[in-house]
Amino acid sequence: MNVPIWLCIPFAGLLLCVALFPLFAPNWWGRHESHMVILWSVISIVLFATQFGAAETFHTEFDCIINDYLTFIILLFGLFCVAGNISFTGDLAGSPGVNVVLLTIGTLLSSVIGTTGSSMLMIRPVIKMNSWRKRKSQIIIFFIFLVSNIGGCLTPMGDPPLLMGFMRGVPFLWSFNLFPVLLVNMFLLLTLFFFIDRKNYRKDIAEGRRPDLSSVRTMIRFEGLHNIIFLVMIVIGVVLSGLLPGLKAFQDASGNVLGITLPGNVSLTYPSLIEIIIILLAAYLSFKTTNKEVRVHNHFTWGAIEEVAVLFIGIFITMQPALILLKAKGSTLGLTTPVQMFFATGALSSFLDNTPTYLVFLTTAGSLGFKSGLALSVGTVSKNMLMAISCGAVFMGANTYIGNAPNFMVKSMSDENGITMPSFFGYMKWSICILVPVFIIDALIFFM
Amino acid sequence: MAEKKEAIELAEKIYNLDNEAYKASGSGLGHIYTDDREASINEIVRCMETPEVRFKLHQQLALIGNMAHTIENPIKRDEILSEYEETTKAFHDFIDRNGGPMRILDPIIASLNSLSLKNRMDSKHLIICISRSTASGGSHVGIELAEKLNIDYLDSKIIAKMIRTLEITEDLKDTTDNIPSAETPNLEEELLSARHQSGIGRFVHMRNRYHGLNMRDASFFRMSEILIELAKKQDFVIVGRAADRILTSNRIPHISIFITAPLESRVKRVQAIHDCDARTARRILKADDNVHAKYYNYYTGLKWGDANNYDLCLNSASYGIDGCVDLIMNMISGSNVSR
Repeated sequence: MNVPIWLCIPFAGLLLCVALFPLFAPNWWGRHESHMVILWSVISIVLFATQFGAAETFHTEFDCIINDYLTFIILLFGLFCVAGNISFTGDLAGSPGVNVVLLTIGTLLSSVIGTTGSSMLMIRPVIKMNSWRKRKSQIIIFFIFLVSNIGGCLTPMGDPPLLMGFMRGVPFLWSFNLFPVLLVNMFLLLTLFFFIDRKNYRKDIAEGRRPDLSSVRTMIRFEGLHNIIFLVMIVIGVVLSGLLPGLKAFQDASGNVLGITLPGNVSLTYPSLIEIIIILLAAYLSFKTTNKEVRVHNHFTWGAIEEVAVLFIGIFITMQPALILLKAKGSTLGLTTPVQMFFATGALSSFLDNTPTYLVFLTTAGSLGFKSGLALSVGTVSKNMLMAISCGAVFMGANTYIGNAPNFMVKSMSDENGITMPSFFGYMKWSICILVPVFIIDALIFFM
Repeated sequence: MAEKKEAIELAEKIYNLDNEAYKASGSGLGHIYTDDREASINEIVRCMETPEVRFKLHQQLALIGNMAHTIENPIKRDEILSEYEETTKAFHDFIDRNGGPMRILDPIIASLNSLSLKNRMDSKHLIICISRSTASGGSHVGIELAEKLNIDYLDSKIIAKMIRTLEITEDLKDTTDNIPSAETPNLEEELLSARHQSGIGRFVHMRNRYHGLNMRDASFFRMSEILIELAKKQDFVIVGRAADRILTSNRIPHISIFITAPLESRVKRVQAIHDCDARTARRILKADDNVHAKYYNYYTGLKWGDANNYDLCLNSASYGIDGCVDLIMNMISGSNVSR
C-alpha cells in the first residue's frame, strides 16, 4: 500500500489541537475536545477513502479500532478500575527524599505489573502525599518519565512492545539485560529530580507551607488490597494474549490465529477476546468486592479515563496512515547501527504507538543478516541491536503526553486533583531538556 | 479631561513660579526649567501624570523653594514663598486625587511590621525577631530586651528543648493510649532511649516519627508550629531560626531586626570569649556565619543578612549592646505596640 505523506496531516492536526487548544482556549477545548477528535477522525477517514476506496478504508480503520484501540482502552480501563479500588492512606510528607523513594518503588513495580498498572496504582498516593505542596508538577513529570515509561523495560509485562518481542522469540528474562541501562537512567533522573524537587520544596516552605506532623507516627494503611488478585488477573490476561497466538489450538491449518470474523473481514482473535474478558471480569469483580468508600477516599471519577478514551480513539484512527507508511518504509531507512535504531525507534515511539514501531524496527533488524545474536521469528538480531530497539521503544514514549498510554492518564488524574500540569509543548520542553540528554548518555555508554 | 486641564494649569503655575523665583533671586544658577515654555510645561504634565516619575516634580519644587528662600528682597521673597506654598499644596492635592505619589511603602511588608504607622494601634503582641552575625552581640541584645520588656526570650536551644518536651509528651500520650496501663511504667525511659539509640534503629524511629522527613526539616516545621501558636498567645523575643520569615509567611506582625558589626570588632569579641588568636577567631566567625546563612537561605529562599529582608539593621559596634537595646526600646515605646 503506497501511502502519500499528506495522509498524515489529520494526525498532525489532532496533535496540534491537543497541544495548542488547552493553552490558548482551555474552556473551549474542554467543551469541544470530543468534537475536534470527531472532526479530525472524519477528515482522516475521508482522505484515506479518496486514496484507497471505501472498502479498504473501512477494513483499515475498523481493524485498528477492534485490534488496537479496543484492547488498549480495555486494558487501561481495567487497570484504572482495579487500581482505583486500592486505597493508600498514608501521611508520609511529600519531601524530595520521600518522593525519590516513591518514584523508585513505582519504577521497579512497572516491570512487574506494567507501566499502566504501576502508574494507576502509584499516582494517587504520590498526589496525596504531596497535597501540602504547591509546586508539584515536576513530581508528576518525573513520575511519567520513570514509572509510566522507563520502568517498564525489565520484563515483557512491563510494556507492550517487549511483550511483542517475547511473542517473537525473545526469552522472558532477556529484558534483564536492560537493567544496567535502567540503573543509569534511574540514577541520572532521580538525582536531577531530587535537586529540582528540592528547589521547589524550599520555595513551598518559604511561603509558609508545611505538612501535618501532628500524628506521632507515620501511618500507612492500604484498603482494598485484595484487588492485587485482580491486578494479577489483568497481567495474566495480557501475558496470555501474547502467549496463546503461538499455540496450535488457537491457529488454523495455515497458521492464522483463530477468531471471530467481523464485518470488513476484520478478525477479533480469540486470545484478544480472552484478554478482554479477563480484564473486564477483573474490573467487575473489583467493583463488586470493594467497598464504595475506598473509591470515595480515592476521589475516583470517570473523568480521566473518559478523556483518554475520547482522545485516543482519534489518535488511533488518524495515526493509521503514519503507521502504514512506517511499515512500508521502515526497512528502507538505512538504519544499521544500534544507536540509529535507538533514536529512530524512540523518535517515532514518542508520537506513534510504540508497539508497531518496535515491531517495524525489530523486523528491519532481523533482515540485516546478523550472524550471531538472538534467533527470533523475524531473523537473527544482535543483543546490542535488540537492546537499542527495546530501550528506544520503551524509554522514549516518555517524550510526549501521547507517547505511552499511561502518560495522558496520569496527566488527566493530576489535573483533576488540582496539579497544574504543563501543556503538550510545555511537557516536551521538560522531556527535551532532561530526557534527551539522558538518552544521549545512554547511547554513548551502551549503543555506540 | 478636567484632570488634564487642571494638570496643565498647575504645570503653568510651577513653570511661572520657577521663572519668578529665578529672576528674583538674581542668580545665574538654579533655573529648573530651561527649555522653552511649551516643552517645559509638557514635561511637567508628563511627570504629574506618571506616578513613577512624580518624585522628580517633588525634587524640582523643593529646588524652587530653596531658590525662593535665597531671594534678598523680603517682600518679593514672602510673595514668592506664599505662591510657592499655594502651588505646592495644589500639587499635593492633585497627586492625592490622582493615585498618590510613587510610594516605597510596600503594603504587605508594612502590614506585618509591628512598628509601621498603620499597625501601631492594632498589633496584638510584641514579637521581636533578631537575626545576627556571630559575635555581634545580637543574642545579648535579645536577652536584655526580653528582660527589660519582661517577656520571654527564645533561641535555638530553648526551642529545641520545647520541641523535645512536646514530642515526648505526645509520644507518651500516644503510647499510653494504645498500651494497657500495666505495661507502661518505664515508657518514658523507653521513648527516650529510642530517641537516643544510634544507627539504623534511630533512623527508622525518627523517619517514622517525622513522616519520612529528615530531622532538620521536621524540626523546622515543628518549630514553625510552636512559634505560630506562641505568637497567638504572648509577647517574646526570638533570636535566629529564620523566625522573621516564618512569621511573615504566616502573616503574623512582628519586628525583624538584623544586628551585625564590622569583622574586626567581631574578631576581637571572639578572641575575648574563646581566648584564641585572631586567625582562629576569624575561622570560628566564618564557620558560624556560614551555618546561620545556610539555614536562613535554605528555609527562606532569601539571602541572610540582606538589609532588604529586615525592618531594622543595626551596627552593634556603633551603638554597643546597651545602645542597641535602648534604641529598640525607644522605637517600641514610641509606638503603641501592646506589651
